[in-house]
Amino acid sequence: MVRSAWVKPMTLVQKFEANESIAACYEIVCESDREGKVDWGKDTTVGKTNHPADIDGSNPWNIDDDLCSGWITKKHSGCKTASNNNLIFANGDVTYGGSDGWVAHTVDVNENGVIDADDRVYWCTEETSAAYFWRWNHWGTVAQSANRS
Amino acid sequence: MEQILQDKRFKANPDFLLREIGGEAVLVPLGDVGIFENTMLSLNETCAFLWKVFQSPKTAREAINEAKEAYEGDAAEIEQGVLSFIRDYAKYKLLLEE
Repeated sequence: MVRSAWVKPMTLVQKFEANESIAACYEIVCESDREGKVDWGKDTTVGKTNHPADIDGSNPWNIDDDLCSGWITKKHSGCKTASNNNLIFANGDVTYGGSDGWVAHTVDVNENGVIDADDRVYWCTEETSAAYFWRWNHWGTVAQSANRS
Repeated sequence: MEQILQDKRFKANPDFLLREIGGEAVLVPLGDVGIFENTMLSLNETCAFLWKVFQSPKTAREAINEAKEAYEGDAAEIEQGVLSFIRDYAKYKLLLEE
């Protein structure tokens, strides 16, 4: 019998790891119908404020308030574009990521224990300058993004 | 040879199966295999040979003798190679003490 030449026994260990993350992507657009209107603003230098809400709290976002002329003219805009609004999810809940379009605050869960499509979210965006402060109020319905990854 | 290796009998862990995949000898872990979860172990020829040797309980000396019968090479190298195989595989419980 012809014997093979001895070589040092070697073992190659190859580990397999999942390299794909499966996550549902969500998006949201503002449905407040406040496009082109002013929500809330404050002139910090002279103490003036501008708020569209009714005093009794009814229809807080349905008041067309044009008291703001001149120094408070920043209007509700851009939030009907989903890419301007950013959702952060952690453990099934929306977490606050700051202003400038990040979604936070109270969520109307569809009774399934997690924040997902068809749930309603309320959020605010804010902007501050040396003399002024503005806040815009938004609400929308979580939708499944067309681009899932 | 270390006394400890002389006296013990070792056997291949039945939670690992030797298969040939694409012309390559591979140990496939089954069941609860700890650190070898989601791994595949590719064996060269002599390693696969030793794995087959230890399908039945063997001492180190018995395995060395079988290796010397099957392969051409320096006796000391063969002995060291088999001992290293036993040490490494026993360390990671690929070989179990009988």
